[in-house]
Amino acid sequence: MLFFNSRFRKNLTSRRLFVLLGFFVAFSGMIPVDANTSLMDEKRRVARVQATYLTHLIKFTNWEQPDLPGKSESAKIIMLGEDKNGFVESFRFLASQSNMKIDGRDLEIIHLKQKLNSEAKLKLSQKPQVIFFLAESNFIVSDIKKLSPKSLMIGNGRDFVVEFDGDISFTNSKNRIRLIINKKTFSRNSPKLSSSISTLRNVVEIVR
Amino acid sequence: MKTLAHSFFALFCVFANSLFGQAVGETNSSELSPFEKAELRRLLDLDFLDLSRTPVRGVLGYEQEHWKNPASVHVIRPEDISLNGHVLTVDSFRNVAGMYTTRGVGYDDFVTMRNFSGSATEKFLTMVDGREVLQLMGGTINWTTEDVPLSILDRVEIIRGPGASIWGTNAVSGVVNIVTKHSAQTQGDSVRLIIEDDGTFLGEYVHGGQISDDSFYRVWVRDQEYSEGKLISGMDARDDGYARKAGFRFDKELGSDMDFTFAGGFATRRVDHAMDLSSRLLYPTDPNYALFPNPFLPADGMGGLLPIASNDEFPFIPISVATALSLPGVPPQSKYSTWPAANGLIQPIGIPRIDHYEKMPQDGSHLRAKISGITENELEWSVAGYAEIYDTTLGHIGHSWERREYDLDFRANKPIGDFNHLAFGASYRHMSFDVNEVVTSPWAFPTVDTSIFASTFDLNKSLRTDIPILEYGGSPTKFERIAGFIQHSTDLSDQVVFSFGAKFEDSDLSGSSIQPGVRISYSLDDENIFWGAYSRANRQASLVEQYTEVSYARIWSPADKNATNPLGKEWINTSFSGSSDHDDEKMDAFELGWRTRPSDKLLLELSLYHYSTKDAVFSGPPVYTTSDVKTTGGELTFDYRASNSWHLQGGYSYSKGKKDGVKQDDFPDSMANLSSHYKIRDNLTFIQSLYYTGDRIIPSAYNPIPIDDYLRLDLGFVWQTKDNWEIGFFGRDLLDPDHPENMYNDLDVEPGRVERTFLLSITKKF
Repeated sequence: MLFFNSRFRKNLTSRRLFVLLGFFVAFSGMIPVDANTSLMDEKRRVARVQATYLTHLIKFTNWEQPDLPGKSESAKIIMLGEDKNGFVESFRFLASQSNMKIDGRDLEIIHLKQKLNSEAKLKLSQKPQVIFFLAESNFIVSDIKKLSPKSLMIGNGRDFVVEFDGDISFTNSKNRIRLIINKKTFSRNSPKLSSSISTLRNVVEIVR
Repeated sequence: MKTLAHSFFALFCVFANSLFGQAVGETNSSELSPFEKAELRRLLDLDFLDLSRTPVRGVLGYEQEHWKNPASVHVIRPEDISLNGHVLTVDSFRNVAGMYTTRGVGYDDFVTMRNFSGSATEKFLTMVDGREVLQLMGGTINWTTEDVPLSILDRVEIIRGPGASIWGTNAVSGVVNIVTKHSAQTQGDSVRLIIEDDGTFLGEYVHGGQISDDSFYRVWVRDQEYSEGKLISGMDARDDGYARKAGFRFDKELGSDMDFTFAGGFATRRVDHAMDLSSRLLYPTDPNYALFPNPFLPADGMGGLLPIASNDEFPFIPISVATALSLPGVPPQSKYSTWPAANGLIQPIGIPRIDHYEKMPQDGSHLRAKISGITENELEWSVAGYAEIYDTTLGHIGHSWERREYDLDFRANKPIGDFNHLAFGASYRHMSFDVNEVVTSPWAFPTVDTSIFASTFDLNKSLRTDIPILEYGGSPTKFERIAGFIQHSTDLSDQVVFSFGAKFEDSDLSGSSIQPGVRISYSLDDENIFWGAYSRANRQASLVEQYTEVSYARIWSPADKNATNPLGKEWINTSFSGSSDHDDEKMDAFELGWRTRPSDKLLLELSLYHYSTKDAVFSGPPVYTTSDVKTTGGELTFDYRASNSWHLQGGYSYSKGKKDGVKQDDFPDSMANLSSHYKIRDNLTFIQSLYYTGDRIIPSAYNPIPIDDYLRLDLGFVWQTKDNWEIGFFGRDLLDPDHPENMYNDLDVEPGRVERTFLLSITKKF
């Protein structure tokens, strides 16, 4: 057998032409297409994967008691910024599905959309355990850190960790979502990320 | 039927056109659709490693998010197997609509997908970690040999409908894709023990460890001991034996975006198998039959003797019957002194039962190496190499072969811009066989080889005692195959994805072929997805079907020897040959599908198909025949989470097939399955499974066996403790003490009893 001297059998029979024609007929109904909305699907998929990562990350984080609310109070997770991709709802859904708690405490998930107004400042000063900067957040990381220095800071993009000294960020490269983690997140006492995550080289890049 | 197919397709095109003509909706919302909620539930079960491998942009083919997949895909997870009280992976196929899973004797499992096989030949492609496991010699799959321990199983994807444009030849009715876990996900030790009340035992042990930060390994062993069951007549099935396996896997990250995997396995199985000899020695009943006239019968008829074939075209009766009737000219026992004595009667036809058991050892080993990665420009690629040695002896037939196979496979896919995705690949295979045949003891008596007599006219030279049942002779034993595929997918909008492609193959076995495929999916809204597909898929005829001469019976010539009848009073061999001219079976397949999630708790899926197959090979005496087969059917499945503690799944499938215009009755028209998992407490689940299978007939040249419809009820409890114990207790087939399901037609004497069993499973991870 040799590929190059073989002869492919008759290929385009009338039946196949009929089939192809049929599919093009089916296609004709689709033109023009709304290609802009296609990216939305990808963004929502990113949001779902990130929300799942966040769920796992919280499970792998340990807080010392002084950094947690009272036993009868809820632990707080604050999301900052506009959310057009369903991240907040995805995370809420995952948290409810997994009955997520932080050290036995129920969760309160707070979404602050736009400005660092008095209400936002109040919420941020109540020692939230996790602060997540959404992709379209206008909040300034340094401002938030001043208000809540003992929160686990999670955001988007490499600069969030490298430039702004955040704890964890998501990056989107090579068609995958990966994590960039600040080295100090493993070494400090609270909030402290489990060192087992640091061994996942394909998942995690540790910097600083 | 051709008109029906065309109408079906035209209807689809018009339907699709009307849908696509609608305004495309905006889905920019913080609200989650039911599909998205279900997808989140799936993601929640993934660990960091799996999440890091989840593509952001939709990947072509069957790897994209399940709910967007324009195909009927059913994914079986390990818990689906353990929670339903299944022992082997193949058992869990009973929970998949469109899959017809049956058991013969204790170690024989048969699987048919979408009504396409009256025989044991598998007409779909099965892969384990990318390695094709179809046995090319007989066209079968040994499900025991290819099974893996449950704790290393990641998932089984069952893709109904042809997928030849990606998977290639033999992906005719569909694809079964078995994927094992990365060894980093099987760290520590795990044990699984299953004991059935009939004595059947399965034990698995898996150990995983870490060599360095970026390299992991696992090793595993498995033992399965079969107890002896019964045949439907009540006779012992002689199906006791064992199957043992061992395997390993090593995974290493070669860089942040490159992985290396090296894995292997060894399997050995020792069982006996029967050869039905009841109608292999024959006496002619037609006085005027051209080749074997019987002068002792009235010239105007068969003397009241009924032919053994149901179609009246095989005018013979077993010699045992002729002897019992003291018919004239029957041979003395000295003429076939090696023939076993009868033991009872075969029901319902009542002829003497004569069988012959021999050993059927099988040993197989394989090695697999794979390097995969992703480049800066998002080209995902993998190169895999496989080497396999498979050694089997079908002692009951006297046929054995050793197969050596080497495969090299390259696959890649890449997003192009924001809306297009390209997948492509190429593969090369080299396969060689060492085939041997021996004459089993019953057949070791002088018999005329008519091909020798035709050339020599010398009776003495023509009398042989070494005619095997299967004779491969000098047929080709080395085969090569080159293949390539390309598939392009484009997001025409958020709602519409269109993909088309083709696989090109050139092989020593079946020449060159192009197998095109086209799929289109349309998301009507957040809750409904429709898809349509056309593809052409080929299946190679097996080596037996192409190259082997089958000596299936010997016929006694009752007349005295004389000048006009030189073969009088001799046994005359009767055989038929496979044909290397057997073209690939070519299937044109049309499919329409609809998947809907009216809520995040309920998933419904409907798929309709029509297959038209040319040159489908059907085996069985007196010849291998090719037929045109048309199959039409559909499947309706659902998945309903009634509450946090109650999960229901089920499906119904209907199909009807026609072979050369005649309705097939070897496949049940209707099948249904329903399983309920109810959590009595967080750690205690009550399981109910119900399976219905319609009636059918096991085809046979002389004794077709009707299989009544049967309803199977399984009940069980699974208790999961906090310290990683899982203990399950199941009662299976509770409505019926036993029922028959299947057998190798024209080879086995009768089906085994699939009996009610009670099963205890214990799993521990530590």
